[in-house]
Amino acid sequence: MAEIKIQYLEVDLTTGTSKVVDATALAKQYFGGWGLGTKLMWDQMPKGMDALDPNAVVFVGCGPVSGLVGSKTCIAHKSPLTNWAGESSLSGDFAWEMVSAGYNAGILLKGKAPKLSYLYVYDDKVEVRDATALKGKWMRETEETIQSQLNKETGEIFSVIVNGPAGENLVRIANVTTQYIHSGSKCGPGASFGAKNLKAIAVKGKKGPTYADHKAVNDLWMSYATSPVTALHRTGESRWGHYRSLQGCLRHVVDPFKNAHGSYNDFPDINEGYSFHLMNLRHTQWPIACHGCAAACFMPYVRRDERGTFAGEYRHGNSAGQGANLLLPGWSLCETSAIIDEVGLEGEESGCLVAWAIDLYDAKIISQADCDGLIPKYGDLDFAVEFHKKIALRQGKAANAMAEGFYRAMKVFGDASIPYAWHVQGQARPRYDARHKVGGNGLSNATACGAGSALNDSLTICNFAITPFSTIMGGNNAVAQKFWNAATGQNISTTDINNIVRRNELLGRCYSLREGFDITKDYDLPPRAFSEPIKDRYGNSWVWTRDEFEAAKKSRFTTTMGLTDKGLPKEAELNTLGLGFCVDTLKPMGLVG
Amino acid sequence: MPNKLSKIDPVSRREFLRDAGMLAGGAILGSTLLMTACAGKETTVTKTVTGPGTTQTVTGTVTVTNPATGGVAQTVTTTVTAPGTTVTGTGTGTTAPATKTGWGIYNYPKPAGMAFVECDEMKCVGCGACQMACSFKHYGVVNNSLSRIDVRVYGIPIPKAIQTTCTMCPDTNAVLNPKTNGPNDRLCVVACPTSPKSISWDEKTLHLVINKATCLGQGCLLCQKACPAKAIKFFPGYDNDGTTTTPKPFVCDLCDTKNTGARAPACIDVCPNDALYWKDEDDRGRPVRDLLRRSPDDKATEIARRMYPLPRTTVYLRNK
Repeated sequence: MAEIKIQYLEVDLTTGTSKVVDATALAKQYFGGWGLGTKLMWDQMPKGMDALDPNAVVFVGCGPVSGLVGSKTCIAHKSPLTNWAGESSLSGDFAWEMVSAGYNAGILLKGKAPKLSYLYVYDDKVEVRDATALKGKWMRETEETIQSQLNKETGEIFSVIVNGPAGENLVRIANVTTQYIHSGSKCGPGASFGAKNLKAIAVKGKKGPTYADHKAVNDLWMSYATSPVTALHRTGESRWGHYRSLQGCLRHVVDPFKNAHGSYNDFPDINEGYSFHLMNLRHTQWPIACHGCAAACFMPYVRRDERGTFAGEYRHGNSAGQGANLLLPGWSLCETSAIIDEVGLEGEESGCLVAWAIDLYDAKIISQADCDGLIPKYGDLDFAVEFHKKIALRQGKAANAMAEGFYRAMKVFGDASIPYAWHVQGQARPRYDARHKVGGNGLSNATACGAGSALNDSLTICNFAITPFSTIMGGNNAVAQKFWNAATGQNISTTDINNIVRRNELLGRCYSLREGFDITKDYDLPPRAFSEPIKDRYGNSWVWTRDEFEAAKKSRFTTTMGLTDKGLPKEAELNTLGLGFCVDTLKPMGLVG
Repeated sequence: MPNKLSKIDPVSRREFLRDAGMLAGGAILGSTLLMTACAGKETTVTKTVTGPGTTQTVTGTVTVTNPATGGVAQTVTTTVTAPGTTVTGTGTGTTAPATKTGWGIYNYPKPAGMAFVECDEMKCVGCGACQMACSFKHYGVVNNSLSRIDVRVYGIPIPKAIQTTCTMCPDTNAVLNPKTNGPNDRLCVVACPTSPKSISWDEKTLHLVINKATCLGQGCLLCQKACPAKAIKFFPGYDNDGTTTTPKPFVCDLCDTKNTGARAPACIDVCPNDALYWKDEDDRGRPVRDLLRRSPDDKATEIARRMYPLPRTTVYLRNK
């Protein structure tokens, strides 16, 4: 079985030129998506280059198996929010279209377009087109305009990744979306697009994907689609969407209340009831899946009320941190979630920042004038909606500071603002509360270093989609091995996969360390995680003590993550995995164990 | 006024026993039928048996106890006579998946007469399984552009997957065409400029057939333009019979790839959400409800209209 070529499209936005680059050798080392993108960033961006520099590279990545186990587009870029390795994943069919167009590793963006533009890719035809007419347009209008124009031109429906007003304004918590509801949220990809004057990327692939063994690929997928073993997962997601996780989050207080001050009370009861009865039975319309996944965990809603008609999706990137955290009842989320998707903000970041602004106003650290005339108040839907817009448009001192993210805003508001901020490593982490030692993600977030899943985000397959495949194929690595070998014609072993996963994990960490990740300061939780307990519905109370956290962190570094007790990669392992170039850079900086 | 709800009809012991007996009898009968349907079936297993001094590939017959699960490891004992010797051996083989996988609609008898693949738009999630299965069945590759069933995702304004396939239009004027209010001919056949027609209805196989010898191909495509459902596809470089010599349009043949009348649509078999199923002519429904001859664009518009009785402009968010 002959191996296929794995290649990406490299586009220079400054000149409008493009070329196809063979990345087969690199893909054997890093898969694609986040792993390959981080390697390209390491090689092509000098140390210390600003994330918003015109010469920065942004890798809109996929892989040969994209669209077979869900379809994920993994944007690897230097995060404008943290300045470390950044990764943002979008669901939707964009990755499948890239693979079908012949770019089965993705698209590498370089340079900066001289004016607001969008990238047009239709199989071999690649153009950088004028988008100045779309300046300032909201997400939905932008996507619909580009889609309808291209539909008239070609008769095809293009898959489009859109950047919103927030991204155009270089808001560091700006997201990008596709198909209206699929959000690439974390790490500010919208600002990276904005720094390149890029309003959108439209892709249509008619050529079809290239596989080494089409029969093997088809058989693998059909074994999933027709298996009664996978039916329960598929039908469960299709019926309820991902909403079904909300009940547990609310009851066990892993969703924050009132800027993470609150504990369980009547308020989440309202939201819980709303989520399960009103949202599911009245406003959610139908399930929608990505290519290569029958689970269909997306369940978009449309709600009409006296305030207008609102459409969107209710989950992390769109709405987490918006509800109980602002003391807004569940039905208000239909509006706030839709607004943040429309203006192009990351829902978790913006929700936590707005909650922080309310606390700062109550503590008299910011004033009404700072908020451009708005009075911050919990439970005020008008304020929440308007303040989100102001962040996206950078209107007013407070909103403009918050558009820069937690770390930079703290410098504007002063040290007095720090105790009120609820963040981990400068990024909002509203869901899975850091203090909750069972259902929370405090330890994993505090010991992270950059973003991205070394397996799924590098293969660009979906965390939720892989579950039923894994059930019938014997684990995630087995799924990866079977699909990768069938699609590429390579014959990688389980050991190879483990090495690639480990290599990607360490490379992301090394990249962040190279770019200024501070191991003494950033491996930590916010002060309130050690001083302000939370209580769940069943009376359990959760909070860290400093000693307990430090011991747990050290144990996680050394036993689970294979790092030194300070959280540094080990030189011997880096050399073994072929990451000697990381050693050469980090050893003089004292950042190798 | 007497409250009728408060009145309880007395039930005699005899009536109760009669009803309970019918219920229990029905349950037993139903269970028996179900067990019969799921009972064992013979499946051929091929495996290698090592006998004294030789290795033979033999074929034996084994009873699969649960055909629904498919792919079950089975043990078979068989005897085969090889040239000059007789070997007996026992080995383990894996049965092929059974053709019927499940209950209910999967075991319905397939239509005997004219039938087509019905698309339930509200069940489709847009996973693309049908397209992968279709292109693989006809061309041996996974490529949605070569699929005869089409799935498009529209934003109306939330994403909605819409399928389209050939509905085997009835060639009868008993009912009017709901779209044109005119004769109900097969518009693709009417549009074909060649004589005899290059696209025609085959009464024997009960699906459309395209004659690649006479079809004008890419320079014509009038059948494609005439089809109100946009069910006729064309992709440069690919023929309608699975070869790649002379590009011609292609249309759903119900997976009767050899034109023998053996219809077995792969898309129905693999659809994970039961959004596709057989429908025969009698079930077609009243013309006024007929979404079958609609293009995916029309179907999306229809669904959007049902969702949004208000003018379209009010759908969008407030933009103060």
